[in-house]
Amino acid sequence: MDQVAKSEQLLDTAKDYFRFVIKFFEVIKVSATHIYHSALELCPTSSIIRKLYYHRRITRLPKVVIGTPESWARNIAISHNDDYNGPCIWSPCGRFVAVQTRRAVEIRNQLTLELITILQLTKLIRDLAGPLAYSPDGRSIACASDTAIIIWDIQTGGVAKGIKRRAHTTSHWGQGPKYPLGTW
Amino acid sequence: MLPFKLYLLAHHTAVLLVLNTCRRARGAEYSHGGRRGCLKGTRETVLNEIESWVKEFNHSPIFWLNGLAGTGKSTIAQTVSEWIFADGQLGASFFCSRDFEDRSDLHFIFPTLAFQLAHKFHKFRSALISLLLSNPDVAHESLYRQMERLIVEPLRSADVSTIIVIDALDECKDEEPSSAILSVLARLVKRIPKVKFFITGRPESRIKTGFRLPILMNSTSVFVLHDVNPLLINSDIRLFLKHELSELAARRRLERWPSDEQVNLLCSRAAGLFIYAVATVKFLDSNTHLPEHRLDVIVKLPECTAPEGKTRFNPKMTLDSLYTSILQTAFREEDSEVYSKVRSTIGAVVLLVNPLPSSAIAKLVGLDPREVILFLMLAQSLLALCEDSDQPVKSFHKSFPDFITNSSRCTDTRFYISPNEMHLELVMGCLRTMNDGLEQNLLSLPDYTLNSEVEDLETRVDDRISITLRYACLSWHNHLTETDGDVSSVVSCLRIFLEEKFLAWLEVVSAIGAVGGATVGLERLVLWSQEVRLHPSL
Repeated sequence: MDQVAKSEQLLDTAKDYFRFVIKFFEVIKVSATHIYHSALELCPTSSIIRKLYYHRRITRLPKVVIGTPESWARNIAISHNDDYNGPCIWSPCGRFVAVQTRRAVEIRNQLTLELITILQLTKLIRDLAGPLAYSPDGRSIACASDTAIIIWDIQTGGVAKGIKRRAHTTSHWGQGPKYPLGTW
Repeated sequence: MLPFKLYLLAHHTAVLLVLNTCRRARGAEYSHGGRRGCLKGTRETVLNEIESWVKEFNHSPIFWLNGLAGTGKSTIAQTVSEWIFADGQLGASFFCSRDFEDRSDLHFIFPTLAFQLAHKFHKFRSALISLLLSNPDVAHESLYRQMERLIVEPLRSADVSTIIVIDALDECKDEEPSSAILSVLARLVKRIPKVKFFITGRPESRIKTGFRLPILMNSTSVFVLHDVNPLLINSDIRLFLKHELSELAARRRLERWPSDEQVNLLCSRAAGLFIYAVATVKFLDSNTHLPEHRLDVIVKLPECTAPEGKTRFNPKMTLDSLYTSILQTAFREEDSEVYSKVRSTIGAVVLLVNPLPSSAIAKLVGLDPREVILFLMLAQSLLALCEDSDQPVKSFHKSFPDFITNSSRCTDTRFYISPNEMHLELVMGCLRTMNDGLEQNLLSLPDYTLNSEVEDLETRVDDRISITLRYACLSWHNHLTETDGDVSSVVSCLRIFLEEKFLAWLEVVSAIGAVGGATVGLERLVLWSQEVRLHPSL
């Protein structure tokens, strides 16, 4: 097999295994043996990990005959939160996503959706209304609301800058109720 | 009375359990790590200044001790911590260190400090416990929230006055243009007026900009170690050399040694770097050589090649030539094969993610353990070696790894360690170790058990997973991401690992409790494979 085909195969395998670990993260975390009991039994029939390791499963339970997914779901990770409210944007480097909840902005890993940082609201802004915008260097996030503009410093999670808006100055600020921030 | 005592005992245990759930870096306190304080009578100017800062409470809340590598920051931080501990004023300390993964992670600083504060102050503990119970994940939040909730709020409710020491802030991995910890401190320090912070670090640009943040400027006292009058430093270094060398002379029964000219020469070569004096003493104090012969070697070193007309030469040059001559004295073989083994051994010591004992290094780089011990013994004046060969080996000071991995400073190609090549060797070592050592159900866990149900899980892990295998399982991806050049050998080793040993690896990772780190590793593997596919010639 030539070098290119080998590296293609390596990438496919790496991606497949990554999905396996993300999908069964909780199972693997609490039990080493359940990797062979549950995770292998339930992984998609077309997955690489199943092809290579299914014969090693250990199960005294009835075999799962029907209902195993055929392939990895399109969405590899899901984060549930009733509070999600507003858009979700990619960081300029493509490794993170930022998403609004009613009371905060969450930065998550784009692959695993693991929570990395929560950017909290302050007295300046009590509710988030406008869209978010990343700074071009990816270090800060800006957001506007009815009453203020706020810029967070992502690594520290603190407010880097904030200005309070005086009432009735919409014309200087943006147009209409949506307060689009535009791009950085 | 008994039930009450029982209640207290139960309460105490419960408190400890909750505290222990908080993640923290181990061995980061000042009392760990076997550092020595300053020799009595040296560094008096800076110590006096710090003392007056400690005593007066109107002073600025932050003291920043700033100095180049090898000017003695950590030794001073150690001395200061010892004093204020003796006075009962030390609340907590964190000595950052690149040698350890957790001690170089910014996100461990505040939880570790909080843990120590909780042990010291009763009221702080109760405040922290109620916080941890209601919000167990607080140690994973952003730095700002961490400091606010783990340090500021409990300190305010406990209303204590104390001092917190953070040493070598530059050794933490930080990608911010202005140090992340400093910008957090800047925002929050006003809310805890009774607490002071003593911080040391190299004058790196991000730390300098951090202290230039407007809010911090006014609340920081700065002391620049490398700007102290050179005469004062020289006399301190002379005092140190005289003291250490006369002790050495007494131990080795040498008379009238060293001569004043020799000490003078060493002082002028040190050019203000304490680490030069420390390294020299360590080099002279060898059990296999006569100190006077070794001193001759150093004295005979050609004077530094500084441009003519410069009276004071570049301190880095003298340190570099000292390190080079220590290496050249230690290894005098002609055989070039020996040098490649030496590079592997020393390269592993300076580039491992966490330090390992010599036997584990030998396995990882595929050398005979006796040979590795020999090389380490030969280079011992540059390393922190214990009598006990089971103890992990580190370099004696971080200026040494800086030197040996930099081709423009370490000009003797027999010793220069190229980081990319060394990481390649280490990732190969990790993969080989895992491919050989891992097998299905290595821990003989009963079917259908949860890890928490296996009572002796830790003993099983310790008995069946060697230190080398454990290191390989946890750190292979750290080395993988640093590789460069021809990686075809890595690709074939990875293939065996992925096709045969992957699930066995997951088992071990699950039993050790490091699945979170494993996902990071796999993510790195995906990114690395993408790179390799795009640039197959790499």
